[in-house]
Amino acid sequence: MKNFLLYLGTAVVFFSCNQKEKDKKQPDKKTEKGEYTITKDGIGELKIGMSDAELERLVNDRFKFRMVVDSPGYWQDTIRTKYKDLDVSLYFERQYGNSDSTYMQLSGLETNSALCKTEYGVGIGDDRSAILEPYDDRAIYMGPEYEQTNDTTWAPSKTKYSVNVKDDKWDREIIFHLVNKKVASLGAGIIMGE
Amino acid sequence: MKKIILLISFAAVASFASAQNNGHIVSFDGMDELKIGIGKVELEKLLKIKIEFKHIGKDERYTETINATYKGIPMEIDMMRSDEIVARLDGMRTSSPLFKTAEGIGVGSDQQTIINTYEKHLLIIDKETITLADADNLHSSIVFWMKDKKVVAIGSEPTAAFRDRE
Repeated sequence: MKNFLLYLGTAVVFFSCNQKEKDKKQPDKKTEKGEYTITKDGIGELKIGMSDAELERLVNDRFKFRMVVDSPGYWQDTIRTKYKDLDVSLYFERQYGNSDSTYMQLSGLETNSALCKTEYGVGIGDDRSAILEPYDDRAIYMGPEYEQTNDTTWAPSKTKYSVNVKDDKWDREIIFHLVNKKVASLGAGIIMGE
Repeated sequence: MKKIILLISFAAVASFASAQNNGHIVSFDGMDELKIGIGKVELEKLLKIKIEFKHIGKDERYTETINATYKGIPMEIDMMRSDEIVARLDGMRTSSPLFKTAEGIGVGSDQQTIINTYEKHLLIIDKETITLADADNLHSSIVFWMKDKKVVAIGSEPTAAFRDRE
């Protein structure tokens, strides 16, 4: 009986390891989308394109737009807040509504929380190959990030690198920011300037 | 015996180095002497042919691609209309394995090798191409055409794809 249990245990461990190995080799296997899943459209209920008022209600916070208030010509601003258990940076752009009124619209977001992952399970601490594998059929834009070395000069960073995975229409993207070859933060946003 | 082995090794290394030096180089500026921006007359001298356009100077089209051979290597060459010099060289490509980048990437190289080799450069990986941008001038690029993650053609051409990095 003891021997039988020993064989059974070994078989269970063997098949379990084998399955893990198979899962690793199936990058197209999406995980179930959860409240912290990041896509090109946002994270959970935080959606690119939402207004500041909608977002304030969602995260139960009152946003103070410093840049836009201090300089009326400024059209972008960043708010750092919490979405459930995630620390997130929300990137806004000024939009024009009816009768000359303006409002702030979410154009991008970013988090460095380990709770946040893509639908393929890629998250903080993963390397570049883990990012590239599941997005085999997408346009990917990657390279060192540029850092300002003085008032007028920018140079490619030696430690910071980013991988931008574009959607089919090239209007939104998921952005992986790497530091020393590991994902340090994940973001999503509207593609601008192309 | 040791001396013979040494001599054979030396000959092999010398032959390899010579092959590397005699290879045709693809750069951000062009391919060998075929440089982006040179005029029609200069290009005709290098290709040893007279270029007859079907469209440039004859209809409204600004660009035209011609097929030619450069030092026996088949090439596709893009020309762009230019008011001063009729037309200038705007891009080129070949499927010949004789052309390689200075780092040795050419027809037959795989995607992972390109990514690893150009870690400090900006890359766009698309369904059919990998575009490598010049870090000093993002409008210049080396383009690798891919099939099954292997390079099947290589070229040099201007790109506007990295505009938002500037």
